[in-house]
Amino acid sequence: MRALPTRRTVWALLTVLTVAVLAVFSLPLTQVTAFPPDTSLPPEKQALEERYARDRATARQTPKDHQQGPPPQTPGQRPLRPRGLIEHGQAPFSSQDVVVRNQWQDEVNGAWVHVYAGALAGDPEQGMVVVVTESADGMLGTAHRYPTPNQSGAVRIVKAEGTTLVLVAPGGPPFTFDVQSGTFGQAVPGNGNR
Amino acid sequence: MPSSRSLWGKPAAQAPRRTLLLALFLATILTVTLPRSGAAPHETAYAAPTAPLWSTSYYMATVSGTTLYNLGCELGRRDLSVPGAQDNIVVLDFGMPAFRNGAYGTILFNNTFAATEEIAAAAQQFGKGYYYCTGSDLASYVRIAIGTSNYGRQVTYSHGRAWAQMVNQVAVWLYNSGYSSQVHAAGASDMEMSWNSPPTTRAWVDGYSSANWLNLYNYGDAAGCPPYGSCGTSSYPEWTQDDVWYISWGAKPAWPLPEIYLTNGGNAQQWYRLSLYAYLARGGRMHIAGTLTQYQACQQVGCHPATANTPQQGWSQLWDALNADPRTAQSLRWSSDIRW
Repeated sequence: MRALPTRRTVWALLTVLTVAVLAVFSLPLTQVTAFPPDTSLPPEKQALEERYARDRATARQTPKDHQQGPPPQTPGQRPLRPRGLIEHGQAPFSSQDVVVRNQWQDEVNGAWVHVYAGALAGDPEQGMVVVVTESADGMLGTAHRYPTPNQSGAVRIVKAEGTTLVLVAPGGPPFTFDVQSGTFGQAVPGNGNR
Repeated sequence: MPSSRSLWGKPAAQAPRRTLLLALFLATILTVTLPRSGAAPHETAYAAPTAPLWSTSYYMATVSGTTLYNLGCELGRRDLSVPGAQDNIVVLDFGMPAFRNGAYGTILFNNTFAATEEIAAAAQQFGKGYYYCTGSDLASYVRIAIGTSNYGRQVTYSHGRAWAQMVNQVAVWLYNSGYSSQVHAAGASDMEMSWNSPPTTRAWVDGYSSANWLNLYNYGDAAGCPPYGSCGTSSYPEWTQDDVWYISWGAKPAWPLPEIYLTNGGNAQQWYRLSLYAYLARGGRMHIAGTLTQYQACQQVGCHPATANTPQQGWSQLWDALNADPRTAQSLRWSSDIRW
């Protein structure tokens, strides 16, 4: 009859097995990707990256100048801004977000205001008006989005009477948008004509 | 009289050690065999790296040197306050190409024309602000991607060439000013499928390639591309994956820095499929430089919730998509988020 393993042997085996299991299963708990990333680049792109690296290495040989000069003054005359309807300007939206048909801009209460008219990219029937007010440093600042009350497709601005804009959509009658209050209203008959 | 042996048949004094060992063994077995959240039993268990610290990119409605200096300084101060060396890309989006009175430039988002000289000066001030405001941090870095787009009627070979020449001038200025240890320039364009045709867009990229010293980052989209279709939009249905590949990677200086806006991972899938297309049809995968999200813009002005990925979400989605396939596996260097 075969001799049973001694208790000492059993405990030794358990010890070895525990250590082995811990070793094997602890490896995936570190940050390891599923596949090693391919870091090779085509020669022309490698050359451009090496240019950046050489530039940087060369510049590092000169100690950093910590003496900050004053910020520069704003350069002289900038072109006059167009006021009113703008038919072909790019809007600061990705086409994944809002498809803009046209825009309007003017100075309102001392601040430049931009109004973009169009529709949601993901819901072309839902017209959208976005009003953006510039901040003092010239960056685009606060903004509000106004979905049109009727889902009649992308809206366009066809007319401006002060800060009241007349909008039309392919599938509906013209209506108004008040830039200052952010409210839609009914257009007076005849205001939809371009 | 019962002996003082434990249940294990050993003297009672040795029982606790053996009990501990048995408990440890059982705990180990339980730990490694219980199901983990998020991983099916048959999947390789791995963890994606943490998304890099993201930078802010900007829609530009000004070329004011003061404003640009302050924006660069803001980033510099951020990096100074964060331990270690930071690595950033910042897109300054100066708007659609334009040509006025014999000068190339763009229409800023305030609808005024800015000549390339003014844009160059603005980008230089951003770099200057970053350099000085990093202070004693000598290792952090920003690559300024000077951006335009493929929107409108002035998307031409000549404009692309002029853009490259402007970017080169900025690089020379940064180098001569001693800022190149921490600041570099590059070209960039927001090339979107609904804004212009493939031939027109390719021509602009070719113009850039004819004069470039430095990279060109495409921070646009892949609308309509697989898995959603065969690329293209109702405005320009003729786009193909090959066109997107060319303007993002195939052209010599081009790199993709795509919009990863969709919270459902759709954009990440599109760019994974584009990299796979490159591997299968063009001799090698693309290497995507990083991700662009619009979370801050969404906070500022609102957006469709489906396009509001945070920077971390966008980066992780793309990383996961690319690295689930050995043919497209890569690191992903940058994360940036655009605002107004």
